Amino acid sequence: MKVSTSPKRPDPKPEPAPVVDEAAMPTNPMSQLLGPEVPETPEATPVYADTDAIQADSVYELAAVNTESLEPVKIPENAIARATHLRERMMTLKTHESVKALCDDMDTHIVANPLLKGPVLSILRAHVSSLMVTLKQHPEFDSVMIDKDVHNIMTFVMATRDEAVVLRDVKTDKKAKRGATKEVKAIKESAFASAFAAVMNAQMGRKS
Amino acid sequence: MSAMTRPIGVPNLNLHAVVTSHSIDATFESCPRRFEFAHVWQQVPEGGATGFAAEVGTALHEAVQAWARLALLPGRDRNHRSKIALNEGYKSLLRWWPWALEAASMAAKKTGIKQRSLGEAILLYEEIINAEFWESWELIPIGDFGLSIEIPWRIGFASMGTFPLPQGGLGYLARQGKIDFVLRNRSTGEVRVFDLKTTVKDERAHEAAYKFSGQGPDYAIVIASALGFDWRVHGLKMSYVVSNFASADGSEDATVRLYTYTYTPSDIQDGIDLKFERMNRMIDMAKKGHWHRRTHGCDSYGSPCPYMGICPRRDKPFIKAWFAFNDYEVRPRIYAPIWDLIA
Repeated sequence: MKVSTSPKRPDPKPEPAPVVDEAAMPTNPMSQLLGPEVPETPEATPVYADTDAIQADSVYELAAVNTESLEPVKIPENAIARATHLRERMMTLKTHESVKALCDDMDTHIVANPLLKGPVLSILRAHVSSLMVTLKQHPEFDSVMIDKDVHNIMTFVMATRDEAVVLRDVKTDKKAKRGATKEVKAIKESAFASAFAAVMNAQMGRKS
Repeated sequence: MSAMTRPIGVPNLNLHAVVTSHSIDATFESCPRRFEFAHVWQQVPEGGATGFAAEVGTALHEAVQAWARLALLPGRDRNHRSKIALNEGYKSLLRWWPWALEAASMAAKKTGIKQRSLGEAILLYEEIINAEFWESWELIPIGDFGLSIEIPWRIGFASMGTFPLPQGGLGYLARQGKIDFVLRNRSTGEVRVFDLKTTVKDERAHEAAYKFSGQGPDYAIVIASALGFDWRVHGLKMSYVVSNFASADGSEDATVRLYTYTYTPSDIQDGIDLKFERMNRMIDMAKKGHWHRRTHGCDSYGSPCPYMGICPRRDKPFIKAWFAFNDYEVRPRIYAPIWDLIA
């Protein structure tokens, strides 16, 4: 579902900081706010004072305090959100002219490459993704697109769809091959087990 | 934040809605403190905090809705295979596709991205709109709103009272949601709620996940109020359109299943009681100013909780500064309802 968004940012100026030891202040600007932590409503947090009372030199140490019992976190928090935001900014076009130029590039690429698959399709995908990110943020650029461009987008959709079908077949083949290999292995193991039992029984003078 | 409209002569109480919903309830149950930062403070990382699967689900909803606006027009028979409608859906899917998030998630080697690839989403979209049941149903025009697609509703819980907000003012609880489709049967005239789900869940888990998800009672209250029937007498019949992506190993193609459930008045009452019990816990924590932490929500499929760095702190000036310093933004995620109820 869609959600309404607001670009409003909070006032970045920190509120008056608690008194801290000046000598202990490193370069991290957040650290100036790291003073002795006093719960604002002490009666509200009586049983949770364990980690809240721990002093640390940075917010990252505090984060570690809170997660020490968990698996180590490999991805920094918000890394994907930040990377996404950065990519979107890079992909967004700013003018009608740049959108038109992109549509023309897309057309040239499709005309020059009748077989749209593999790396050729990936290049087209880069064009389409940039166009779509731009149109989502600037619907007013819709007017740039003419029938040829809409047709090209549909060509991309069909090529992507066909590639997905091929990939599915590859997966199904692999699964079938894996199944066949397992079956051969099972037969071999079964044959070995029978032969082994026969030899052992013969050695021990039993009838198999 | 959206302040409640103040009648003339009433003092300004600086009231703000703290909005919950079906999915926000899940956040609260997973970790109340995460709920506090995301929905009481309303701070989210710049660029958003939603995952790839949720964004793909949104894109598919937009695609099916764009298709339905043309294919399920009221009074037109058997038009659900319209080529123009089909193409509108494709275009919507591309426009809403999370291109940047997909690339960033792939670069971070997140799992499950390929199962929801664009190609697979196109195939699933086709599977959804080719389902036969659409042929029997049509959209309904709703007053100034338009066709009965993605209808926003809200219930303001005035009777539950207010609580202090950490950033100042008073909060009150409200629930919101959007109904994917309200359709009318072309032959019988029956009006029914349809909820579209996109998932990779095993079929055996569908009934547990959807019939008992708790969305039925929400819809019953809203639809009963809008259409003027008593759910305490009739209950509610609704359908889930559950669309599964093809399995990751290629052994199963994309599938669409239609589940129709009839919720009895007692089922609906149970669901309402459960929601009130949860909302009472929310208000209790809000009044204490202390939202519990639950460690099992700190990591989800390899992504750490976006509030991990601030989670242990309780002092408001620090929390406020931390959000500003770490590029968080206020995102209320509250939308204007067309069906607005007071409870």
